[in-house]
Amino acid sequence: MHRHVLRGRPARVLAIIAGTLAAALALAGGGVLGSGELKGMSAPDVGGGINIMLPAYGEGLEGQPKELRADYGKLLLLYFGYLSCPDVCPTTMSALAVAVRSLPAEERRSLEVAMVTGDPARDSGQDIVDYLKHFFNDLPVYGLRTADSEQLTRAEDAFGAASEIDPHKPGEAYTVSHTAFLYAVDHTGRVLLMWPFGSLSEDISSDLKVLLERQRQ
Amino acid sequence: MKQEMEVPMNINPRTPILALAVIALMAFGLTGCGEEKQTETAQQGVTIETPWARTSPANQQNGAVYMKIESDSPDKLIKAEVESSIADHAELHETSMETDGGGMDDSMHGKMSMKKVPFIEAPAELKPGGFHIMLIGLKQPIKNGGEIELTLTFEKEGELRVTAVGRD
Repeated sequence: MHRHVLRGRPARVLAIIAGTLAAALALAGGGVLGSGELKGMSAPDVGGGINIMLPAYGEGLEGQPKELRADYGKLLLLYFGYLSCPDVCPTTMSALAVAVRSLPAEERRSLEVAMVTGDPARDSGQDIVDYLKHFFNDLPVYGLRTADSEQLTRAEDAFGAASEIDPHKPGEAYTVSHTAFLYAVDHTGRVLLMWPFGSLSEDISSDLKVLLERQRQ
Repeated sequence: MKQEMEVPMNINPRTPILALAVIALMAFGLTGCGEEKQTETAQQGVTIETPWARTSPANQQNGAVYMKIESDSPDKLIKAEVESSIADHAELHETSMETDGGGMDDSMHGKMSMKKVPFIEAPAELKPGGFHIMLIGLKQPIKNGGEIELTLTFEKEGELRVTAVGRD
C-alpha cells in the first residue's frame, strides 16, 4: 500500500514521464490517422485528369474547358453518371452527401464536386450543376458536359471509366450503362482513391478525413 | 344488424331445441367466419416493409422506390403503378454489374446497367443497386417525408396498395 503512494519529487517526475508518454502516444495516434487504413480502392493504373479538359459549368464557368483536377490544396470528388439515372447515381451522390455533411466545416471547404454526364443529349451543363447543388449546397460544384463523344471517351479512359447509351428506339426513353466509381482527385489530377458503387458513407467520410489530413501535411 | 338483434327475441322458451339450433348456427357461423379470416390471412401472404423512395433533385426525371417484400409462399410482383400526379408511370427494374468485361477485371471496369424486368420474384428485397420500382417522368421532386402511393400487382396475391415515404 505504502509503495503505491507517491509524494514529493518522485511523484512529479513520474507525472512528467506519464505526460510525455501520453503526448507521444497521442502523436503516434495522429500519425496512424494520417496514414490510416483507407476503405476505398487505390488507383495506381488510373491516369487521372492531368491534361484532360472538358467544357465545365458552375462556379462562373459557362462551358469553358476545365482540367479534371482539383484547385490547389483541394480535393475534387469526380463522378461519371447521368441525370435520368434513378438508382445508382442518386445512391452514390446521397452516400457522398452524407459523408460530406459529417465533416467539420473546415474540411468541407477543401472539397469540390464534379459530375461528367454520359448523356449529353438530355443533360445540360446547368442541369448537372442544379442536380449537384441538391446534394452539395455549400460546396463548389461543376457540371462537365461534352457533346463530342471522342472527347468524352478520352476523359472516361483517363479514369478507367466508361459509359454507353443503351439500345433504344428513336424517341423512346433510354438508360445509360456506366461505371459508377467516385474518384478523389488532387490538384495534380492524380486519383488518390476511388470508391466503388455501394460504398458506405461512413467509409467515404473516414477516407476523406485521411486524405485531407495527408494533404495538409 | 336489425335482424340479428331480433333473433334472440324470437326464441321461444318452450322450444329449447330451436334455441340450441340457433346457438349452434351462430357458433357455426362464427367458426365459419373465423376460418374465412384465416384463409384470407393465408392469401395475404405478401407483406411490404419500409417502402421508401430517395428524395430527388428538382430536375431529376426518374426516381426509384425500394422496399422489402415478405411472402409466405413464392409469388411474383408483376406490375407497379404510381399515381399520375407523381410520375408518368412505373416499371420494374434491376440494376446489375455487367460481367462481360472482355478479360478485364470486372470489379474495376464493369458498368452498372439497368434493365426493365417482367417480374420480381417474392420474397425480395428491393434496394439501391438491385431491384427497384423505377418512377419514370417525375412530375414533382420526391421530398423528404413526402408520400408516394403505389399499387403493386402480384401474380397470386393480387393488388396491394402501399405508401412509400421519401427520404434522403
